[in-house]
This record gives sequence, structure tokens and C-alpha cells, in this order.
Amino acid sequence: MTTKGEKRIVSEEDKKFAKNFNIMDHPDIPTGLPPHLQLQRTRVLCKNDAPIHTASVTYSGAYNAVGVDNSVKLENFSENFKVDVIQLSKDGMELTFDMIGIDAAIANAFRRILLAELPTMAFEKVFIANNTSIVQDEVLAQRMGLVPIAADPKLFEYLSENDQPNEKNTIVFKLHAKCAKGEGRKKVLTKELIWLPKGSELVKESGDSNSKPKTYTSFSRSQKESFPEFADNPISPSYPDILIAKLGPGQEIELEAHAVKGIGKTHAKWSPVATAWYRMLPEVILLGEVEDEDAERLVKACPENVFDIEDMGNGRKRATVARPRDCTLCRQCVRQNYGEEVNKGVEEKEWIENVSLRRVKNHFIFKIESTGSLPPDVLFTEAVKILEDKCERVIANLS
Amino acid sequence: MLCVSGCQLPHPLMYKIIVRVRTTNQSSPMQAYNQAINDLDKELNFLKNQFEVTMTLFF
Repeated sequence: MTTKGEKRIVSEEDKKFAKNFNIMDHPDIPTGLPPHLQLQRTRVLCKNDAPIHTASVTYSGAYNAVGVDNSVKLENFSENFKVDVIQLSKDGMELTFDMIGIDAAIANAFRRILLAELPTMAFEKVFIANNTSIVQDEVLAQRMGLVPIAADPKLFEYLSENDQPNEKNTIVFKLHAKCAKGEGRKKVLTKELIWLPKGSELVKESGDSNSKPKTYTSFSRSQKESFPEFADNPISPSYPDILIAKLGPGQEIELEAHAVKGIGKTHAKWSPVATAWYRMLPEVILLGEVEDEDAERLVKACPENVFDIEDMGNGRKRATVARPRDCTLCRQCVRQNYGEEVNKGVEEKEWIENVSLRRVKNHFIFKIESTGSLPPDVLFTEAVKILEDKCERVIANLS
Repeated sequence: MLCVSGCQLPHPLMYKIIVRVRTTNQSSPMQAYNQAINDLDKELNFLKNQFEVTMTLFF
């Protein structure tokens, strides 16, 4: 401490130290958001009646008052983004994977694109030569439209109104099923659909008899030549055991179906996914200690076995959260008394404060179930490409 | 520097979205919008690459 009047000599080091000193660098000062704001920003709290804090905080200056920048930066995204594959089913058609670090809007965009904007091949025109079955023509045609075809739509082109159906935009299948008199009821399954790589065989009626008979498609080459992928494995429906119609004795179905490329937006038959959905990662937090008998009741109450008992020693038990991922938010663990009948002698307890059910806002568990035209990871990559194309189209139109 | 931005869907059956961008004098709204879409494009590209890398690691 200097007394009044004395001069203090300040060294160069001290000056430099003073210049570079920032109180926020001190290790004891907390940086970042205070924990309650971080909770609001990153978690959806699923209360008893309804979830709160569901909207994502998008305004970049939302936390300016506490000195935290909430803007979305490309570098931050690249650092924090992560993909984890959880499971791929045995037939390779169902994929479960996690995406961490994206916003709900982007996850929803992918879900919508997977459902409605990825192209597939599906039957559009059904030429019925003979149908004496119980199933009406139009009902039969509608059912044919919903049959999934295992053909990569990227190899084909769209067929517009003015185009002729040719080998680049149409796949032709034939179905001829007959149930003889005296036989029992016969099931017509998709395995009876036969691929015609050379095009349609139905002849169009035309006046002149000297020209070559025209069919409903104009294939210049067999599709086995133009698509080497199909030379050895013929195109077929994704599943051979789908029931199309049932025939009684003496009934017959003879038809030819033409499949074209389309997107789910036009008609749901062109949707490449059986369905695609996502959920946010559940987080279950025990706000206080749950011990002994209460712990047993908590563990028994949860239908998904999210909780487990842990021994603390001294014969005392404690409940812990073992599998938060399985939580379906049934809220049995926060119901009064777990929904059990109140027995005389057992106190009614309020459990609402002890367990906090939350969802992590930027961690999405996606599940994609493909119908068979493309494997689910290819479908997702295509969906991202479509969203990128849309961005580029907007940029091109703006300039 | 962006002041405000928002979007509106006038009618759910008509595919039309109105986007409104307001900036300070320092930059034009076209610039801001272009930059936003370019950033989104880059993010999506990164996302796609990460996904493909993760899928190849999984198999």
C-alpha cells in the first residue's frame, strides 16, 4: 500500500499483465449459460400435463444479456455434429440411427422428404384383358399400384404426358392367373407377376393390317440389354408373397401392368419408405434420492424397465436410471402412487417432484423402414441430396 | 447485420412461402439470405459426408 504522495514504480511486466488481464479468464468465474437457462435451451421438460420449452431458441441475440452468443455458425455445426448407427435389421431394410447436433426443423425436413419427395417405381397403368374374379377391375388396379417394386428409380426417367412409354421410363409386368373348375380357392400372390423386358405384349387394335402390330409401349431394345444390372437378376416386386386377389373355381385374371417413376407427393404408392420417423432422445433424471420401498415401487411401475435398483450397503437400496433410451413417456413414474390402488396402510406419495422426464432437443433417433426399392441408408443420402438441390435452386433463382 | 427475419405461409394448400429479411445499412438482405442458404448447403454437405462415413464404418 502506498501512502499519499509517494510514487509507485510500475514495471513493464506489470503493465503488460494489466493490459492482457481479463476477469472472465479467471478459472472461478463461470462462463457460458447459467444451468437453468442451459436446461431451458437444450431440453424439453415433459411435465405431467404437457411439455414445456418445446420451441428452439433461434434468435442469435437471445442471451446477449449474459454475454453468450446464440448464433448458428457453420464451424460450430461441423464440430458438434455426430451420426451413430444403432441397428440395421437382418434383411437390411430397417435402419435406426442417431443424429446429434441438428435442429428439429432439419430433422423434420428429412422426414418429409423421405416420405414424399424421393422417387420410386410403381404401377400406374393396368391393362386388364380378362377379369372374371370377384375383385372389381378398379379395385384390382388400385391394389396393383400399391405393390412395391424392387427397382432402383435412379436408372429410369420420368414419363410425362407427351412421352411415349419406352424402355427408359416404363417397366412392364404380366399377370395371368387362373383357378380351374374343381379346385379350391386360389390365392394370387405377387410372385405370379412376370417381368416382360421386351415391353408390352398386348396389341393395340389398328385399322391397317399390313403394318407391324403396335403394342402399348415402344421398346427399342430389351431392358435386359439397356440395364446390365437386370441382365442376371430380373426385376420383381420387393416381396413375393403379397396377396393381390383370391380366385374361386373357374375365375381368371389376365392383365398387364406398367410401372413408372413418381414421387410420394403425387400418390402415396410412390413413397419409398413404409414409414420414416424420429424421436428425441429421452432423458430421465431423479431429482432426489429414491430409496428402499419407494425405489422398489418406482422400478415396478415403469413398463419399460427404465429404472434399476442399486444396493447402497447396509441393506439399503436406491433407484437409478439404467435405460433412459427406452422411455416412452408413459408417465407412470410420475403418476400419484404410480396408478396403483391405494392400500390401507400405504401412504399416498407425491412422486411428481422426484422424477424429471426430459427430451434432448438436438439429439434425434431416426428410424427408416424401406419398402424394398432402395436400402435405407441410400434413401437418406438421396434425401439430403434433394434438400441440397433445393438450396441450390433458391440460390440460383435469387441471383 | 441482420435485424429481423421471418417467414409466412399464406395458405396451407398453396405452395407459396413469403420470406421477409431486414438488415442494417451494413449489408443487404439479399446478401444475408444468400449467405444463409450457402451455409445451409455446406452444412448439408457435411452432414451427408458424415453419414456416409458412419455407414461405411458400421458395415
